[in-house]
Amino acid sequence: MSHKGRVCIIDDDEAVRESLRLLLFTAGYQTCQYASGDALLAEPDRPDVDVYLLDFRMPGTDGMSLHQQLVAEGCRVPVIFVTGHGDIPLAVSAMQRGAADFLTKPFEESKLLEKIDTAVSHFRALRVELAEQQALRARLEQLTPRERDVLRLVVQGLSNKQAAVELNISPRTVEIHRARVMEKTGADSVATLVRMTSDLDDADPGLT
Amino acid sequence: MAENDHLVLVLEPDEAVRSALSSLLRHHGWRVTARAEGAALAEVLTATSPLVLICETALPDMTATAVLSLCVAAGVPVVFTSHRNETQKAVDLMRKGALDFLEKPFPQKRLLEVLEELRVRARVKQK
Repeated sequence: MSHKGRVCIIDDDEAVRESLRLLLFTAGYQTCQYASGDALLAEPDRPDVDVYLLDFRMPGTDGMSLHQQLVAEGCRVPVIFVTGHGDIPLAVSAMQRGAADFLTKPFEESKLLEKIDTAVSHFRALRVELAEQQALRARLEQLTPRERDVLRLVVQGLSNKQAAVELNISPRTVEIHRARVMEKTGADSVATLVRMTSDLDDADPGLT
Repeated sequence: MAENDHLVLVLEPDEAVRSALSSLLRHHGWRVTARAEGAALAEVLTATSPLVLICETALPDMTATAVLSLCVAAGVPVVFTSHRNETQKAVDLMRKGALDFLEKPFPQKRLLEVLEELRVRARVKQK
């Protein structure tokens, strides 16, 4: 049975965790919980989740520091702060650091669900994109150095003849390398190759 | 005082605040155009290409969200200011692309730092 997504609740107040769990369950989400930021960070096998719901004020590692830590690790999972302490400078700071959203109590449950929905669907789309990039990277790694050279020149718009001159090989050889590049990357056209490599470049400058 | 070609656009309905803010910015070498309301904002943005807009959320004739949309479209960063305790509004505007949101009375130092950062970034981009 599929569910709408997995939400990780981090709050030191058990009653709050339980009420969020119930709300999310009714709305079709799976949840996991931690009573503190430290507990999450100490977890060796972190659960695979689509969004974090963080309280701000927690003993030990507070919500802000936890968010900072996750960002520093390169974690792309969206973070939504849910807190009784709605002070503007902190909220703005959280948003500048990349929080997906920030809700102050009391809030409407429907609002929270709406924001979770948005965050989860964005993240799932991002996950697909990241997986595609990963797959493409793996395919590019299969290229020989010469094939990589040809790829680089082809996406820059050089013709086979121009590439041949640049690389000091025959146009026929360029053609062969090019065919192999297309095969290995699964691209159906130069335009596709350009798109693939520019997507990767945006994510990972200097890769190609 | 650094030599500065950049324009700071200020939207602030309160005359005293508008005046004080303009003085402060000019004292620090910024060119300032200050208005009391959002009328003709789109035209002003195109005509003057400001480095940044500093905007009070409670304008008499435009919502903060409308101001932000115009500025995002024009590529002009916005720093909102507010005398109201409106956390959700602040979060909303940040999520939609505002650069910053400062509660009044706002820390002058912070505002000047934000402006300075923008000026440096603009110079780097020009190179």
